[in-house]
Amino acid sequence: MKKILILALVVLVLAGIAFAMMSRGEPREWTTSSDAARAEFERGLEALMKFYYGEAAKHFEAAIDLDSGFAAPKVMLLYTGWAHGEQRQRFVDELRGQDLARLTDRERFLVEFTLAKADQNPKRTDELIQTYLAGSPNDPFGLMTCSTEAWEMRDWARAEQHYRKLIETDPNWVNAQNRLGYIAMAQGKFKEAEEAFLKYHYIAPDQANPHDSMGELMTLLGRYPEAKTAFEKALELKPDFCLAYYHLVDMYTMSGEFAPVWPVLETAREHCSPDFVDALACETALWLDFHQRAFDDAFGEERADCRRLALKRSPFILHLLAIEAGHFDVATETETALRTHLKEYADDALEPNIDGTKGMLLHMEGARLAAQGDLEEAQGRLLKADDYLLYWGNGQGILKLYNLLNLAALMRRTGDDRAADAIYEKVHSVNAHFAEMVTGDGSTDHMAASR
Amino acid sequence: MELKARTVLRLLGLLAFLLAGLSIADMFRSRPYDGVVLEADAPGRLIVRTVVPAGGAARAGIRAGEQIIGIDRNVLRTSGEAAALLNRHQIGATIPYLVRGKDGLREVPVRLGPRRIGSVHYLYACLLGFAFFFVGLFVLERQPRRRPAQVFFILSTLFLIFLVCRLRPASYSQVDAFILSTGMAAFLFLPASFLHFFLIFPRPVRFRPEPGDGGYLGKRAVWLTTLGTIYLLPLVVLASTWVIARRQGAEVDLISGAPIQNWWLLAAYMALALATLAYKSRRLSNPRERRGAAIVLFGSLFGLVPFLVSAVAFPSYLHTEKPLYGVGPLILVPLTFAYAIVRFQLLEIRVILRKSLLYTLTTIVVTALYAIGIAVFNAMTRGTSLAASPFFPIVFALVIVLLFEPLRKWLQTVVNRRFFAERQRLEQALEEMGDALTAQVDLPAVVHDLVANLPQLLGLHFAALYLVRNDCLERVAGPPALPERLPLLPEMHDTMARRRGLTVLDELEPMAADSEELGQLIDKLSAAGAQVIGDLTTPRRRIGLVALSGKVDQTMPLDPSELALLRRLLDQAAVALETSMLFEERTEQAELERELEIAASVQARLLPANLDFGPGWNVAAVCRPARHIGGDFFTELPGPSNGSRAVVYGDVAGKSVSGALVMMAAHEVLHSLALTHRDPEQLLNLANRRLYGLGSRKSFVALAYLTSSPNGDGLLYSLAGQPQPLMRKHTGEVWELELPPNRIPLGALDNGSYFLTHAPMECGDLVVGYSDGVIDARSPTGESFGIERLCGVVAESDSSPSVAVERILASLDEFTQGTEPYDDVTLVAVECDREAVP
Repeated sequence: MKKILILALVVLVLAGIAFAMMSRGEPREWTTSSDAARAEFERGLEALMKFYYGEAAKHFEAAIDLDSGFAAPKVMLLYTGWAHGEQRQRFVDELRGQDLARLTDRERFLVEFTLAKADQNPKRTDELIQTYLAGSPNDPFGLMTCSTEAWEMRDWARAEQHYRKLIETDPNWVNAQNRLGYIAMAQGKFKEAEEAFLKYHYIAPDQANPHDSMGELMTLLGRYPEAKTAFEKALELKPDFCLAYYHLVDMYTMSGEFAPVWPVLETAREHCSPDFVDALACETALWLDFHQRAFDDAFGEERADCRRLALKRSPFILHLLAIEAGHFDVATETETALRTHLKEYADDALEPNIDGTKGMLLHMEGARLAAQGDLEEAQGRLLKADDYLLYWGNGQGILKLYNLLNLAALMRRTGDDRAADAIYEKVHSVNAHFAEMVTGDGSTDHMAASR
Repeated sequence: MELKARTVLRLLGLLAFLLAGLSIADMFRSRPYDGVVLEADAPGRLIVRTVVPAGGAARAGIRAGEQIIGIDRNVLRTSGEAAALLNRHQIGATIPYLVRGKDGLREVPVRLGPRRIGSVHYLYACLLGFAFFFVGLFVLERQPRRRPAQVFFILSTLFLIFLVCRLRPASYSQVDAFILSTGMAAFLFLPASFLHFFLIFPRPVRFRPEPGDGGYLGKRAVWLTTLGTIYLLPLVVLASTWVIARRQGAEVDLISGAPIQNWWLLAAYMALALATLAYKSRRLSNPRERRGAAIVLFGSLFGLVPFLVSAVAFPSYLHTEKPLYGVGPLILVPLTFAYAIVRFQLLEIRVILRKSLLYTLTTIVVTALYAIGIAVFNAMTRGTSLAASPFFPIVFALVIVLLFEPLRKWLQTVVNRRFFAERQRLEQALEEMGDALTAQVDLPAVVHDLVANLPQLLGLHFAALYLVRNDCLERVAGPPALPERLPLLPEMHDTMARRRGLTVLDELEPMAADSEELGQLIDKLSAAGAQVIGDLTTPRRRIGLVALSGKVDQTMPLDPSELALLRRLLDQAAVALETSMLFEERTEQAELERELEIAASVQARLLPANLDFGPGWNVAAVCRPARHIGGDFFTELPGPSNGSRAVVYGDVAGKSVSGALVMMAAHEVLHSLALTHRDPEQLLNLANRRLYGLGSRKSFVALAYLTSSPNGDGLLYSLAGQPQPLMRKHTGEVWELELPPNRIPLGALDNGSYFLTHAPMECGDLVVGYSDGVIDARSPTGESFGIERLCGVVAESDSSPSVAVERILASLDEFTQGTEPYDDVTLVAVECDREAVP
């Protein structure tokens, strides 16, 4: 009996110690002597999570003002790209001089990683990520950094893996939900994408971004009313969400509704830069010309400025019009411009759309070659374009669908009806409206004509 | 070691009870609740098992089978997070939920209400769990040393934890997760303990070693290894199932926390256990044990099989809120076990049911039945013309009253037959035995009935009977292993008297410290197998002692009800024994009296009817023994001279038979010596020597020799111990004759000499010789007759010897007034009647 009592006493003491240890409180996450600075920083993180970069930057700057030695906000400002020029260099220098020993493991990692990025040392960044995750495999910042790296490197599989791990650790990390949604969408897993965006929306209903993301998905899937609702909601929440205007206009264009576009553009003009709105208006006008088959108008003098803008910002519609109108020189010019652009940004790790641009170029070439009668080459280009193109929202995604429809038309022309039908079905299953709209009565013969 | 095991078991039981209690108490805690009961078998996911009707989730349209993805703008990982989120809000708050249904994700607002305590089904599961636990606890407390009782307690505790903790409606709190995990852990060990129990109940299987078996250590190692395997196998199955599923990337389908493989193992264990029980039940020799085991088999079979079938074959039932289909019949297991204990003394546990309690219960049952019947009848007849009749209530009430009592009595008869049949049979049998004993007067028959029948009735090894004889207790019946004699110990009998005559030997142990004799008595009886001793005493005397062994088929001593019945029987037996003994004594006495009568008649015939003292003398003599036969005598011998006669009268020391025997010896000695030795002095000397040589120095003879003098002028006499005769002259004076020089009674000393003394007598003189019985005769007040009174009577009496003798006898009778004579009385009167001489 005595032994049992002693054993029970020991268990109680151990339990008490464990309880005391557990009640000690959370370990410090961020090294700063100022509670106010910490609060600002955490507000900044919250805004960053919502993709409100401007707001986030303000908070980070406020935190640095309150504690100039606070390393974490400097890291975040550099990460978001908000700090540039002199300020950027200053932060980098200050971080280099930081006493890493007084920082937490996480802070140390973030500082070293940022410096390695600044030095453009991918080997070092990789090494840092591996080492940090080996010791803290579930740290959300480590996982976020790793996922972002992978995202930027267009290593979708690795990005997906780490984003998934991140949401296992913290399912409320909306950035990860959003990115996973896009990755799923890009892979054609539309239900998964919709779920991810729904979760994103659920966690942060006051954010505009989830609505915009959902809108892109709905546009891709041809669910235009839902897309409209989503974009309008995004703009309601954030009237200066210019990208949402773009997507909304794009949706109208894809759906063939042009009348509502102009009021949208008017509203956009109140919140977005004139260049942006002008470019959007031009693109819309050109698309309207395409729908109305007013090729003369499209290539008329009135549209000259638009065409110049389109060459830079929306080469696809210009190319499309050129092909339809038989202006192969314009088409070629557009391709050349795009090719130049590609060369310029080929090594830019921060340009995630490189593959999409490549795909677009290949599609253009293929479309032109098809129109010029070189069906074999055209088919090869279109096939290759499909490899590069992803279902990435209502831009690249729609382009992928259109590319596939062109490919189907080509195959039909070469007598491969079976393959053509299969491709058509595939597009139809994604966006039936688009497939029918593009092919008219369901056939793909309209691509047969060459000018 | 045993004490440690019991302590550990009790601690385990206490922990389990506390856990079950806390689990139930936790459900009473007021906290905001959404009305969702989670699926316990979907770890890591919040799957809705059911929604509480009219709860927040039900009103929001959440349905069973849907998954809760997020609560309050947080996507969830665990149910614990959900609990923390809900606890941030008040009852009445509406918070958004993200739910995945068949059509995908949707957001719904859910209003939080107060936590509702679990359903009727869970309440039933709790009651069942506690029923198991308390039956197991009762068994352990009654038989703490027996392994089957210990294992049964463990089994019951595991059932408690499984039913209360595992079947608890799951919700979000971490308390739930902990409790459900505990329930699942209990489930893993449940089948093993079930199998273990039936391997050793009601008798252990053959390969379970007993201390004393050949190769015990080796066999024990095998047994323990087998048990270890039985207990560890479910864990191994569980672990391997998880590992394989992990490797294959598949999910493990759970039923109440365990994979289907464990349920199949449970089914296999239970089938094996029940088969073992069925096999052993058929081979039990004791019918009571056989019936008890059969009842347990029945309950286990019909209680567990539906549960297993519903869990294994129709697992969806356990996922619903209606597990009664599977869990319901489990109640049979504790019920049948409890019934088997009460009815058939399972595990040698005696439960003495109060008849009054059971009768009260039957009355309650009957009343409840009637209440239900009335309600049903009222419902059926509502609105009919029958119900509208004014006589209906009266008739109905009369019917109830008339049927109530017979139904209640019938139920009580059933209760008696079920629960008290054995006791009634025993009561009746003991009553009959008691009647038979009291009707019996033959002592051997009483002894036989008591000693032979009692063990049969009570299932004892033996009964033994000791009777009080010769200041000790002598064994008159019983096994030879018991001591032949036991001392009479007043303290032991006093103790037994305080305990109303019946005592368990163990209870006398404390007294043995103060009394070595008692300690030895207890040790001897215990060594021979006795456990209970009973005092046989009547108000008049202590008759003896009964020693009873333990029961043949049980290790428990006699229970209190049996002891109470035995007490009554022993009282009757004591009376019967006393009666028989008295009867025997009376018979012996009657025989003795008859023999004494025969001896008296023989003795009387020895006394001459007529005495002859020679011519000129008259003589009369009488000898009246104090008892049937006595030591006094008179006889006629040849006188010293030819033709003379002598009268001798003697008084033997001692009375009754012993006196008579010496008297007859003396009579024969005198007669045989007188044939060859007529000289009185010589005769007496030789007689003295002869009688001295006969034996006991207590047996001597006071003698008086009377003869006439050769010339007829007087009396010659010699006295050997007799008082001096009285002379009554014809003138009326009375005096004592002179004492001769030697008066030692015959046989008292080896050498004695006896002399004749002359007493002159004239005509009409009377000499009266007497034994000391005459003067020692007592009145009722204790006064002696005395020599003076005798002299007075002699003085007043006639000279006729016979008249004088009669006169003296009459006077004695008047004096003693019928008081029991103290001594034999002998009178010899001799009268000188010279005128009669020719």
